[in-house]
Amino acid sequence: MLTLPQFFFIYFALAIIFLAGMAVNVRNPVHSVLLVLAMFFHMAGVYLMLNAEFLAAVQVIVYAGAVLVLYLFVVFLVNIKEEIRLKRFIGSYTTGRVITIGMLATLLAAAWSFKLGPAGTWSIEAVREITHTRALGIEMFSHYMLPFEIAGVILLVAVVGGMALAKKDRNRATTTEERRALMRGEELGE
Amino acid sequence: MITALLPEIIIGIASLFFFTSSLLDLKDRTVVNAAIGFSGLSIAAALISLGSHGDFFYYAYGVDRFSRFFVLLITGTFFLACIITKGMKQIPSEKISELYFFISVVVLGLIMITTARELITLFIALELASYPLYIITSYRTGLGYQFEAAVKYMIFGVVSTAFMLYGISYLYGAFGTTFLHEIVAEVHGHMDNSLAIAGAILFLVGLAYKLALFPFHFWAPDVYAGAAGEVVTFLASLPKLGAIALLVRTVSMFSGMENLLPVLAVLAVLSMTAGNLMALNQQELKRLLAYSAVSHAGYMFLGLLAPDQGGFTAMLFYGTVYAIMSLGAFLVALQVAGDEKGDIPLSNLKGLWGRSPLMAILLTIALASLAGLPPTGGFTGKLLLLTAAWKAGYLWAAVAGVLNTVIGIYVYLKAIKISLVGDEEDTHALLASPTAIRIAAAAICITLLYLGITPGKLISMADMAVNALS
Repeated sequence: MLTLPQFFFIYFALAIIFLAGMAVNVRNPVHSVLLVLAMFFHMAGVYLMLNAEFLAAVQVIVYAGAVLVLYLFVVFLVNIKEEIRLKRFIGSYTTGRVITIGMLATLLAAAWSFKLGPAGTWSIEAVREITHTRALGIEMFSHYMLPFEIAGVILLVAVVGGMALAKKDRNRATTTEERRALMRGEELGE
Repeated sequence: MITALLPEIIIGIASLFFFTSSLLDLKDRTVVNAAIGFSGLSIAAALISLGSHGDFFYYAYGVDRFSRFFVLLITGTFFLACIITKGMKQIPSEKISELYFFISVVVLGLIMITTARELITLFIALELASYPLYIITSYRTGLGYQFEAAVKYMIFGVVSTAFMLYGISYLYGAFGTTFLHEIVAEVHGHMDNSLAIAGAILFLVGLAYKLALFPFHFWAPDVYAGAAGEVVTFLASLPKLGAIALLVRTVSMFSGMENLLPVLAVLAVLSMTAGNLMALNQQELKRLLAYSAVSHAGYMFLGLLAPDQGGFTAMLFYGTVYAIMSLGAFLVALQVAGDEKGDIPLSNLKGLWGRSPLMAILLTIALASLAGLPPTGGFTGKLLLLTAAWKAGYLWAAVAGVLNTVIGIYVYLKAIKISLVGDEEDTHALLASPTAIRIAAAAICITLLYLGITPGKLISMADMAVNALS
């Protein structure tokens, strides 16, 4: 007989797999994004079951709240009808499916050697003892300090990159004879 | 302690400088010279830090001889590439500062890849070295297909990164830690753990993408042809070095794993065959070099098959030579590109000997080295790789490598023939390259020949670097 946590875990796991599969297969991008949204909520549920309340809240606020709304904006802004008609990279469905099923089989075969039960320093009991948010903070600002800091630099790159790509359009619109002359002058100067 | 991290500090300052200068209205010339200056400084810093070692950030960042060897290599390539791309003909003038900001961030990320010893840090550093490249791929004046190139580069990059992250999650599942020194301590108990093996192979996918190894090479031709020549010069040389460093480090940890090396052998042979066959009919110089990168990724993978027979040393040697010879080829490509904004067809090389003998000599030496003809560094490198693979028992892979060299010779000799035996009454004007470019060209020629004739010094340096791994 299933215990209640087991029941919920199986529900969340099956729902995540189903929603992710649907998100890839539906044709309407808006539906796809909404399915991903539902999937993120179910993932937050899995985090909750692992006593990771903070992570679950972040999952809902950041992914469901911010990232996906951004995706929705993007999907609304681009012309969807053109997107759908794009040719697929691998023409035949059969080839794609054979490759995908092969990969799935390989990964599942590997997954059998997962050892069940707690492992590592942060078992559920250890997390429960000092609370999850504190455990996360301790790890993030000691052992994982460096990747945490580099992530900040990546955000800087993303901000500058976004502006650099956006700047292009404005300049193209205001291209003047003067700027061309300037560029010619500098090429001659080289 | 501070000397160990000197290259990181210099490159960090450089990226801050270019970040600021992109807001100021500096002359292009000043910015380009600053880039050359900073990259020169970083070489000096890399030389100072060459012998140092130390562990930082709870063993997440470990400076050792191996990482500093690659830092020297990366900064040297950075410097040379800055000189070669001095002209910046295909880059819009107002974006030059930003371009250098992104490239110095890439260099910083690559230095971190060679030094980091923790899976999450490695992953984040790899991302740091990838995002800027996605952005600068779209920098190009004129009507090209640079955006298609950028999108292809990014989508393939993101997918391969996803594979890599998935591999990391498997490795974490198998070992219960993301720190390499803890994984190394436990790896002997996991040699037939299918979880760890799958994790290791998936982890290598992200690196194979950077190297443009065969099944992960689809981005390479379009990106090489679509992006500006200056950007491709950086993109074709720098990230490969980081990928080689991380490949060697990973495979040195997992080389005892069941069936890992045969998988790599199959990939190596497939990649060199596919790359060479697809290069046969290319008419565009940068596209040809892209397929050449695919086949060279295959050759470099041969080194991974022989962890105990000097394969890693051979791979480090070949990586160095590859960076130099591809820079040489791109130097010529940028010079013959002229002022046209479009592609660089092979016919642009016509009559190169009459237009600029030095460029013709450089092209001949660089392509002969790519083909693996003596007395160039490419020959020595291929010889080392093939003998290492042969000694390790992968005779079939070594034979495939030799056969592929023959196909490669045809590909590269075709380009050399066009440049040397082209029509005499050519409409192209004489090539008047700046002095710095000519000095760089001569330096590349001499280095390639030097590494071909007396490779001993570099081999012993690579040996010392590899010994620091274990």
